[in-house]
Amino acid sequence: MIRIISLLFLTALFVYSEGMIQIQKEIYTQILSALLPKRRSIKIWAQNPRTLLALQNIPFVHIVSKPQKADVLIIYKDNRILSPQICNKIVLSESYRLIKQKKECILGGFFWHKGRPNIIFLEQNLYKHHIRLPKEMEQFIEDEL
Amino acid sequence: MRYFALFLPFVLLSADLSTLLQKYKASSDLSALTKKESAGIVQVFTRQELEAMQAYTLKDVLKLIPLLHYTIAPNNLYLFSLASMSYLPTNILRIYIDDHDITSATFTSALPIWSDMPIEFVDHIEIYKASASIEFGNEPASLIIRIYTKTPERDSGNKLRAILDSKGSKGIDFYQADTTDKGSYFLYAHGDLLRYKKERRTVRYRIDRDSDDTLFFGKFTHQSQSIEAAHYHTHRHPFLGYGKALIPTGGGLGAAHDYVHYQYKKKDTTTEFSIDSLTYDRSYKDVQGVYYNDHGHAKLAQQEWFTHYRDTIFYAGIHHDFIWRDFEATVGALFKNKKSAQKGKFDSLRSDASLTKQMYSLYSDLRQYFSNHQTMFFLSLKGDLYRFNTTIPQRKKLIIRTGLIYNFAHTRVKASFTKSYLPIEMYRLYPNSTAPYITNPYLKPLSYKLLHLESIYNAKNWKFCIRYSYKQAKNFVHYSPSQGFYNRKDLIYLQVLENEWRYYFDPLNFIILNIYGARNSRHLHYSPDFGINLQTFNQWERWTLYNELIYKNGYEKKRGGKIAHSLAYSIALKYNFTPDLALGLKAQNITDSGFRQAFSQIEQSVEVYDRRIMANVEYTF
Repeated sequence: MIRIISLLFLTALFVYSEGMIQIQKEIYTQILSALLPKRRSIKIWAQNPRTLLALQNIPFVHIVSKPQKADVLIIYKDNRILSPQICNKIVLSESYRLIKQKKECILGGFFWHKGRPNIIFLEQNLYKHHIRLPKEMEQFIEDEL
Repeated sequence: MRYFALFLPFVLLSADLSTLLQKYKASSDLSALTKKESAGIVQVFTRQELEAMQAYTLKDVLKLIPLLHYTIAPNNLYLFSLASMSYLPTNILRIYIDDHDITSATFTSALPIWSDMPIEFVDHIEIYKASASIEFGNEPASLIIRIYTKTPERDSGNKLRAILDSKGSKGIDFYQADTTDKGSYFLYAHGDLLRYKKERRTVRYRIDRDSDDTLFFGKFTHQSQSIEAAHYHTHRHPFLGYGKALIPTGGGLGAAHDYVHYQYKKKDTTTEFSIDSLTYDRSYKDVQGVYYNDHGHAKLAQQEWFTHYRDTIFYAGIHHDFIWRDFEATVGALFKNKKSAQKGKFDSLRSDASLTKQMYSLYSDLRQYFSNHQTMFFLSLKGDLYRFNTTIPQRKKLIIRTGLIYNFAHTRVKASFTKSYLPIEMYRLYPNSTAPYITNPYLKPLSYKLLHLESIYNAKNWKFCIRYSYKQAKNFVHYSPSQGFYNRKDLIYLQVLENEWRYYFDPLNFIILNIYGARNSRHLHYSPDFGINLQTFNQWERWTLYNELIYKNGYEKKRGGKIAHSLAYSIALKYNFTPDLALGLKAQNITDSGFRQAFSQIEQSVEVYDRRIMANVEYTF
């Protein structure tokens, strides 16, 4: 319920920054299409209400309320949900600090660091999930943080 | 062909992921703004703009505020003059770093110390003109500059920036930021030696306006609490000084400001405490001596003219925000205890005095929305009480600001009326009848009424604003060597008109054009009364290009002589070798025909922003 209220509140708050939400949506569309290219529908659980705003308009995305039901999880501040079961799923992070802390579990992320937005995919985790990224996205693959 | 690059903004069509990241950054910069529409005319310099401009110090930004000329005073301080007018009183302005007011108690302004502060630690800057500042609590001012520092959430990591320019200036900036499970920190250090063109004043003397600065800043947050602290030190050479001949043989300024600001936010209530300590050491030496007041008589100090001011300020404030259906309100209270102590040496004369001022204030800012937020009515009220520890009479002042913001289709119309005042600088009130000035404990604060009308049209890719203000002010403070500080009795009227046009090809490529003009009731021409600012921003793959054109018209000086019009063209180009390493080159006032400041005492005018080329290296790690 709190998440729904937050979502409604943020919808009002971000009317003026529609451009930012739109661009975030385009970025996640490209990331998700690259990670799961054969899937027609992807179930996503996201921690950050702002991210939910961007995701809800992607046609092939279904937002779920429980992490266990998701194909892809996008965590923001709290890493307590990262149980061994969850770590078998594709986990993305919007925090550089969390990726560093849980790099054995988190596949990569879209986050702010050094004053700019970054995208990173960890090579060993891509291998673990048998994911091969398209050529134009190889520039975002890192072997170490 | 000289300005060809200025009119050639390239358009990005590609939407690859790297470009999307750049656009996301640009859009996020806009969404990070905290501007309050009801507080006045808001002009914002976003992070994207500041980075493209390769802005290094505050004057690189403030010179672009339409209607205001950021000019240099004879004692090497940067002050504002309003189009057509002379220097504005320093107390017209307040500068905030995040939520901390960096105003000096003695001078009721931040400009005597912070006028050319470094800005590498700044995320964005909001300028509020035609304001009453009630919305921000604190003491009143009609020009508010809010400097928002970078956030550890976005800027985690380290950054090093170094600059070198063709005049021999050098500077270095470093910051480190990170987040933890429950908080974050941001640490910043800066040092610079700024060098300027040394124009010849006489056969023997070249004007020297060099300066050196150091700044340390830190902010720490832990859950709902945050603490910010800074130490800033500036040293400035004498420039023209304030001697009889304006040919200084020594002197200058050494000033420092330290503060700690604590803030606690619980739900909608914010509680704040802060302590400031400032020192301001000024000395003048001149070939013909420097005037000072010796018990009512003007004398010339031949050997020594030195003042030391020390301010200590304690501030406590609380405010609470309410939202009830379509009604919003902020109510708050604040207390300030300000002490200004002065010591002076004027040849054989010595002065030593201090003054303490206490300020109690209650304020409210009420906003009522109608028709699904189509219309907003706002009313702000503030009552201030000043008490002094001497025979200076206590003062009660009331400020009122009311207005309407109406939105229809793509248009927003704003109208407001403000009745306010500016607190008197403490150095004008004490010490009575001793050096260096003849002070006046009975001075009245400058008071003004302001009517402001604004219309903004927002289309998909462009925006157009037209603004008109009418200002009526009384009790201007003047100084005469025989009478000291006194209030002028006459009313001064001022009308200003300003247009702003922005066109966005996309979030990374855009143009900003400002055209403004002003007229005062006394038909005085102390500065240009018409000007045009044009800025273009372009970003393409690894390149960032910025063009800037500032035009100010010429005018006839009151005491004869003509100041020619000025046209300053600057360009900045940056190349990102990697996402972490960038090299920038900035050429300022390329044509060497920029704004020159006139001084009433001398024929000579001085270039405010000289021609220079700056190299800039930025490395994040």
